[in-house]
Amino acid sequence: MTRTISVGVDLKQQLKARAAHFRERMAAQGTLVVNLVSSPGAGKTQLLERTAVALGEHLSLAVLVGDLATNRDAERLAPYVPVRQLTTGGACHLEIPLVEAGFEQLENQRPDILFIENVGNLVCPASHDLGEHMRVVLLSVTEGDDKPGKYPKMYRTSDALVISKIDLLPYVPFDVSFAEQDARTIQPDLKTLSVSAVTGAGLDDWCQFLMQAHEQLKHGNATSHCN
Amino acid sequence: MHEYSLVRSLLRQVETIVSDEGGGVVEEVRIEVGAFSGVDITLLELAFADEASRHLGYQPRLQTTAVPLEVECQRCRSRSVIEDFEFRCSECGHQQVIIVSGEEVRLMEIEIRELNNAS
Repeated sequence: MTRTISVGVDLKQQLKARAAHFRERMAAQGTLVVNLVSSPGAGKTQLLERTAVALGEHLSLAVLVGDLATNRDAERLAPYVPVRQLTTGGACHLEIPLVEAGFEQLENQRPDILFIENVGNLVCPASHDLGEHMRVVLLSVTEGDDKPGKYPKMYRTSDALVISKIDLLPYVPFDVSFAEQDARTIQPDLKTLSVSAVTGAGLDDWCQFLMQAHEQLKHGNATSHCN
Repeated sequence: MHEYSLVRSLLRQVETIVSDEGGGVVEEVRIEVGAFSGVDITLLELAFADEASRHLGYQPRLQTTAVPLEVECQRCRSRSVIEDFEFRCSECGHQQVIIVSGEEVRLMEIEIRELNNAS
C-alpha cells in the first residue's frame, strides 16, 4: 500500500536557523556582522587593510577571511586586526558552520564590527546566509560596469555596493552611474559608495557608513536583504 | 549552486522522515524549486539520479515543480511574476517590491510503499 507523507520544509531550514541565531546573538552583544562579497581580485582584502587602520581608531574590529587555500589574506590583515583564516578546502563559498567555528577562535569575541570576507565568487555566496546584518558587494572598475545585471541574486541580496579601484577609472571604460543604475534595477534600496584603497578616496564615506550601521544596530534598527 | 550537496541533504531528510513515519520504500520524492533559489532543476535531477541509489540502495522518482519568482508591490499590493530579474511591479511600475516566493527549495511530499508488517 502506498501513502503520501506531507512535509513542506525548506531544504536549508537548519542552516538558515543557525544563521538567524548567530545574527541575533551578535546583535545582542552589539557586534555588527558585515559579509563582504565580490569576484576574486576586486580588492576586498585591501579595502579591509585600509578600513582596519582608519576605523580601528574608533571601533574594535575582527575579520574572518575565507579562501579555498592558503593563509595569505589572514597574514596580510594580521598586523592591523584580529583575524582568522577560514579555508574551505575547495568549496567556493562560506557557510554558517565555518563562520561559527572561526568566530570561536578569534581573539576578540566582542568586536563592534565583525567582517566576513567571503570567497571571491559572485554566484554561490549569494545563496548562503552567514548570519550577517549587512551584505556588501564590491565591484572593481576593471570588471566592467555591466556586471550587476549578470549576477542578479548577489545584487538583490546585498545592502550596499562599493565600487572599488576608482583610481583606475581614467584607464578603463567603466561608467559608474550605469553600474549603479543597473544594480538599482535589481535592488532599489542599494546604498552605493566608491572607493580607492590605494589613494584613500572615498574611504571616509565608507567608514562613516559602517559607523552609522553599527549605531543603527545598537539601536535595534538593522535591516538586511540577505535573509 | 550546489546541486549534489543539496541532493545529499534532501536524501538525508527523506530517510529521517520515512524512518520517523515507521519506514517504507520511497517511491517518489516531490520538491518545489524556486526560480530565484540558485538551483538548476536539470542539474538537480541529474544529481538525484546519481546519488539516490547510492544513498538508499534503490532509485525513487523525483518530481520537481518550478516555482516562479513572485513579488508583492509595497505600494499597490499587487503581485507580479519577475522573469527578467527587473524588480518592478507589473501593475503600477513601483520598484519597492518584496519577494513572496521563488527563493526556496522545498521538500513537499514523499510517497512511500509501506512495508507489510501484519503478516
